[in-house]
Amino acid sequence: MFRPRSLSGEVLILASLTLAAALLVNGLRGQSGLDLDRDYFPADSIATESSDGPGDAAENGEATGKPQHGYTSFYLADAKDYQQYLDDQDGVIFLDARSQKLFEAGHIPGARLCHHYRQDQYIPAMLEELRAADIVVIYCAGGDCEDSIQLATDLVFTHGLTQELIAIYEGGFAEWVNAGLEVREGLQP
Amino acid sequence: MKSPAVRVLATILGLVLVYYGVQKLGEPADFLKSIHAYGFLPTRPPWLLNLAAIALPWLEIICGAALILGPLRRGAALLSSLVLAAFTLAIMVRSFQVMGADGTPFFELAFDCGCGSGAVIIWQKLLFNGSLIAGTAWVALRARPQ
Repeated sequence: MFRPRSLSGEVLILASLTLAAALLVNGLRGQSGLDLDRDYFPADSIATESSDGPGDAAENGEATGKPQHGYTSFYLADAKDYQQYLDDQDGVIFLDARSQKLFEAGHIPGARLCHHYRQDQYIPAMLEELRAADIVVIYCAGGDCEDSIQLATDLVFTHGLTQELIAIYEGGFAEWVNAGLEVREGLQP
Repeated sequence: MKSPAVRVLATILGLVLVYYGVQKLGEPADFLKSIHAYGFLPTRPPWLLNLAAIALPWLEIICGAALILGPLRRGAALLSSLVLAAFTLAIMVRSFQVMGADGTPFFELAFDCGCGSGAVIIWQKLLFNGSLIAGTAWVALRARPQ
């Protein structure tokens, strides 16, 4: 067996093995793997390119420690109101940007699964409906979670939704649960 | 490598690295989010961050296996100590950011460092990582080419 005598040789072999294993397994994962070319954090890129875009958001979150964004913010008071018209959701769509596993464990009633990192599996089927909506409220875990903002940025810059159509529920699922509001389990909205 | 002490230590360190590497393999997007949160890699071009997210767990697993099995042990120990040092530094920087943002005292600080074990108490994690760095560095210095 070939055994390198130099330290740099050992490092080179280990790096090569790592790269080969990582690329091979990621390829075998299929849709659950990462797309190497995809920008999963479009809001960051938008923020560095434009000071007016949704990725920049001096008006939101700066003093709260929460991720900043330039979309309309959806607050818990609205969520309580939302409970009153759960039966009449025309025009309002809730998107859950968290993973399927978390969605199944519990989500806001009426919300649809749209995991930011697997959005290609969900958006094409609902894109026309999103475009026709009056408001699309996006949430993730809450706290420092920024998946909702990243998904919103993709919806605007990749899928052509208008920025005004989108609202971010900053408190997220954690705030919803802490407020004692109804939670639905399973894959159904 | 003749020293049993080095071999035993390398095996323990290798098992720890393999364990943490496997923990990170479950959901690549979760680890991607974790390393993005540190902000030490740019999001453009995207492949750099994405490649780091899929490769770092495998680096831990392969270096861990090399530490256990023997061949390439020096290189594995050196690589491990360098990666651990970089991540430990990143955890320290993020700790200061969190402390600055919400005023949490250092010894009460806890967050998910993306290390494969969920939210952790940071001072304990730093101590643990420091031990791993010292251990891998020692193995790198003491191990001989086989």
